[in-house]
Amino acid sequence: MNERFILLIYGYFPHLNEGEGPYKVHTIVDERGAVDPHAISTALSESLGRNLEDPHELRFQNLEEINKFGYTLIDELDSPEIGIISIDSYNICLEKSTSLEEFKENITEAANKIENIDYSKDKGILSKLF
Amino acid sequence: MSTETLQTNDEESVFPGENWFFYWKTSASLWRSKLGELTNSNKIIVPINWSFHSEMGERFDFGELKPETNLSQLSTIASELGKEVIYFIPISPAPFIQNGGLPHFLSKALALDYSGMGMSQVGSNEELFKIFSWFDPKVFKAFNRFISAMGQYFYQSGINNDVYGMVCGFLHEGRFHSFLEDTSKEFHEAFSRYLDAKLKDQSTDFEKPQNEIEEMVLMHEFENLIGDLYRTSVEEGLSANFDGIVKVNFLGSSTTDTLKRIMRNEEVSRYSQELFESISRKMFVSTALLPKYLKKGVFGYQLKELVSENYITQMLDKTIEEDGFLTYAPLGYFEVFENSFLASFREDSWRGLGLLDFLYDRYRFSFFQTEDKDFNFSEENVNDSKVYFFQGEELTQHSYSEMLKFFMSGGQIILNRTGMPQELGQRLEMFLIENRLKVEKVNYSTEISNVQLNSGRMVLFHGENLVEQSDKSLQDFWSKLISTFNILHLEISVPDDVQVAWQSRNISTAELNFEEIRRVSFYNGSSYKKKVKVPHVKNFALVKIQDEKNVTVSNWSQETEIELLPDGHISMDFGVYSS
Repeated sequence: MNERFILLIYGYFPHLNEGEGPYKVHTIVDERGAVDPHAISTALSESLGRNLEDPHELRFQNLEEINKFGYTLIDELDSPEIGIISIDSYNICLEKSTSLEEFKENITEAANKIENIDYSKDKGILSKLF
Repeated sequence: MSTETLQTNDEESVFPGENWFFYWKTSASLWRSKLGELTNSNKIIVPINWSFHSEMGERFDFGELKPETNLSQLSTIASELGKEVIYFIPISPAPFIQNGGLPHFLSKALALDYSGMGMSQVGSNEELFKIFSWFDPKVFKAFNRFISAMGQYFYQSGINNDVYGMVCGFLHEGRFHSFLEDTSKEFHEAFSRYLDAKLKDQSTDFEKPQNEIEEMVLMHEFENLIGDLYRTSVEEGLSANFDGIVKVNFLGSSTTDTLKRIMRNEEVSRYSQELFESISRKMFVSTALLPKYLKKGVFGYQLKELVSENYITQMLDKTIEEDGFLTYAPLGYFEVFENSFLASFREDSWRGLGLLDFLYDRYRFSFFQTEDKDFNFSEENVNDSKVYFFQGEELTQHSYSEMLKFFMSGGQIILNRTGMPQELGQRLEMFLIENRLKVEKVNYSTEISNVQLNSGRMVLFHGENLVEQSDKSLQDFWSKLISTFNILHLEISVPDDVQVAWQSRNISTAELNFEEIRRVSFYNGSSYKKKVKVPHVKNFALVKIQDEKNVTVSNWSQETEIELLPDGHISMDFGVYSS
């Protein structure tokens, strides 16, 4: 697993079909610590033009919306990559894993990975600012 | 890998902290030397590993095949070393054992948490532990057989050590979740059978749940029912040894924690906060899943000072206080009763009414929260001089009667009458009239009734009228109300990143000028320098400053100023007198 990898886990809840949609984000984790709620809010606004009212209710109509959001989020956080995985796939990975290493590999393999094409490890200060 | 690393890992595996001993992780021939190394306390907590005794399926091993399963020998060795083994039998999945402690042949269905995520944990040596559902009827039958065999073994071997049923879980958003809570297919199938049985029961007018909340309440009721079955199994199977139930909060064990730990994103400050929250909820806390390198600095010191040294012994053995030993115990002025599951659906929960925020702000680490279904009055309740908070909606006939007994014996009560069962409300009115008690009424945000009977005091109010109030109004309401109680507290303004712990103990013969000794400890777990100012006030005489690390203390005429560097901590002992 990439050390700057961000993982987004979502669930599909058909009974949430009203309003913002049945896909709900369970967790977004980053090895650098808690993901900044401001970055999440900005990414949601920039990718889908929506305001984040409740950070625990990050919902989407379809997978395409999640992908768009994910891409904008890594751009916002200046991270190289995001892995997007459903709760069901996560559970399958867990069931078939016998060690932590294997579990990590299985998650990385099963997740839909989106790369940040603008990310560069060697960015200078000016390019980081602008 | 170096030999040193191996030794470290071995130590960590066998002694996972807080005086716990994992007997299955080391050779029985080493038990004597290993137990001899434990110096923190003479009590050793030994959790039972069901699967370790059940590797032969239905044939249980208690020393016949593997010497490491010989619990009789373990008890004897501990006793010869002047130590006492306390057995904790998991009555829910145990997150620190492979498959949650279930024997391999029963580990069929992955347990899912409240959000549908498979439950798993990362061990202290980066092992992957998975939790499997305990709602399969085969699991309960097998558990019952195991407990029955263990009970016989204890009886035949003459093991007289105390046994507790252990509910393993984690804290999430102010609520303790047992690992028994599960949303897997096995759970839903068992719940459907339960609903069918209830519908078929002619003696009740039970109806199918009409909405999501009703269904969740019923699921919770069902979980409790199954939890009670496991508890009863241990209580009956080991009746001669059974001494009660303990809840253990395993730090780092929730699904969210697992994800963070996979990403190597450990939040020690949160573990530290959870430690404090566990103590205020009178729970045990275990760091069995956390690697040793995290149990250092301020957090390591808190574990030693607040948990390992006194707390465990006090939780397991009330006689220590009665015998007059001068050990410190967590200090509490308030006892807040509330079922956190039901509270999550209610606007006038103690959190919704601003009480918990108020107490956290003004009386941090000086109040307790309890989830006990029933309140049982005892003389101890009166002697501890605490103010007890009750939610009328949760009062049962039993708790109501006990609450009145408590009041009549001099207890202090604050009762939110909103949602109180009508019958109990009427009985309360009758009680006040029959006993000719003078009710003093005042309007302050809501109608408040104050009833006094000798030293007993009961304050009644309607919480529903406070729900719409601003945070500031709620804080003012509680501040005003609490100020009418005689609480002798040294108020110290503490920055958010600094943790504070209050403890108290009885006085020694050399301290007769005081009524009690209180210890306040400050811990700076942040990466910044922090300042705390302790005012010099009447009724609190500074007796001693100790355990100083990375601190500078400056004494001024009005206050003592403490500068805590990162990882800094200090304890101050005060002699308290009321006149």
